[in-house]
Order: sequence, then structure tokens, then C-alpha cells
Amino acid sequence: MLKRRDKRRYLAVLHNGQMDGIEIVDLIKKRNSELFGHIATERSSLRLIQSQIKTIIIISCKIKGLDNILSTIAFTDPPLVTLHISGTLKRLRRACLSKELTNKGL
Amino acid sequence: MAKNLAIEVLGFGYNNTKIEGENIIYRVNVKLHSSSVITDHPYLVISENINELQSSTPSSPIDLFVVRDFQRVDNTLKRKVKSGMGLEVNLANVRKMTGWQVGKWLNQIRKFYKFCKTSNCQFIFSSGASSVLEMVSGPSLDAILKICDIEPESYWRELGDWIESKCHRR
Repeated sequence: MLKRRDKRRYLAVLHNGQMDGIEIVDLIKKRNSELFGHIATERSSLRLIQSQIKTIIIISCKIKGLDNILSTIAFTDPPLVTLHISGTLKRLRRACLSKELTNKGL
Repeated sequence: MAKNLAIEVLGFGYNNTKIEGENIIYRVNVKLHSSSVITDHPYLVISENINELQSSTPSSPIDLFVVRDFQRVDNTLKRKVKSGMGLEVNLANVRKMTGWQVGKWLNQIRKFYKFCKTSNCQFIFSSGASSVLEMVSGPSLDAILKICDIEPESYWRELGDWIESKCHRR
């Protein structure tokens, strides 16, 4: 039997800067559990990748749970915005960098 | 910012101050519409008051009605709504709802979409954002539409056609 790793997607999420990365991931997990259940939340395997930029964090989730996570992000309070989605971290970081340059006012 | 969120056109609340930008459509209140004239920019006349739908005449048509609580306005809306009108629901208040309430709201949206289809109205799903952080990205909107059994591709196509037909009227 072939051992295949589940595909993941990397998401750049914009926030107000008042919470740290871990708190934001916990917020998304909590809301996702409320909306889709604990099992679906565990299966989506949400992880914090990095939070170096003050108002943007990078998270990752399994591709199967992506739609749930995207809708959960839209239903969170305080509000969060999905800035970019990518299959590789490298491409996402590049996109974030260009967006940061174009949205310096944020 | 809209481009970053994969949104081509933004609806912007108009309050007598003009915002420059090609990808902006003003949302003009009925009362403001009667007192001010916008000629050089596409706009839509919106209303949130169900009683204003009655006074909608061919000379001052309401393009878009914002539905805050579908359950409450359900029967009245069925009587007053006109074919071709846009019916909008937004996410602004949903963020503060509990998980159970969100589930119920999503189910209402499913029914509301069917109602829009049967009454030949354009279903419009909006973020209701009043700041950049409250905006909802295109992929997130698509994910919510899928939950509501609405095919995103056909939704965006129909919405694009509807906006084009309404904005070209003026």
C-alpha cells in the first residue's frame, strides 16, 4: 500500500494585530468546532505556520477541510480576512510580500 | 485590497462623498437618491425598509433590497417584491451569532435563494463590511455559497449580468 501524505493548503490571514498567532488559530478551531464539529476540525489539521508580520499570520490545513476553514474565517469575531491561498509556502510568502508592499496602509 | 481578495467590483455606500475608482459601484440610499444626482458613476439604489418597496415607482426604482431578517419579512416580501430586483443578505451580524444560530441562518439562506429563484430576483450575498478587516475574500464567499448549495460559478455569472444590466440603465 502506498503511503501518501494528505495535500495541504497554506493560507495568509489578515487580523487586527491585537491577538497572537496561537490565539487566532485557537479562535478558528473553536469556531470551526461550533459550526462543523470537533471531528471535522481535527481532520482539517489546522496548524500555525508563522506570524512574523504583525497583522498577517500563515496557517495551513488539509485540502479536504479547506472549504470549512474558509467559511469559518468569514464567520469569526473579531473579524479575520483570508488574503491568499497557496499550495506551497514559498509561493504564499512571495504573494504576502507583494501584497504587503501594495497595502502598506493596512 | 479588493484585488487581493479576488473581488473585481466593490459596492460602496454613498454619502455625498465621491470615491475615485473604476471598480466601485455606489450604493445609494433611496432618500439620498431623490436629493442628489450621480451621473458619472454607476450606482444602485438600495433600501432596507420594507415599506419603501411599496413606493417603488418606475421613475424611482429600488434596485436592491437588503434583507436583515428573512423570517420576519418573509410574507410581506413575497407580496411586495418585483421581478428583476436584487435581494441582498449580508454577513455583518452573522459573525456575532452562536454556532447554532449560524447553522440556522445558513439554512434560511438556502431557502431564501430558492425564493429568489422562484420570484425571478437576483440573490446577492454581501460581506456587509464597514472596514477592510470585515471584508470577505472571494474564496471564503465561494465556500459559504457551497454550504448553501449554491454553485459559485453560476452565482457570480448571474450577479455580473445583473449588475451590468442595472448599471447600464443610467
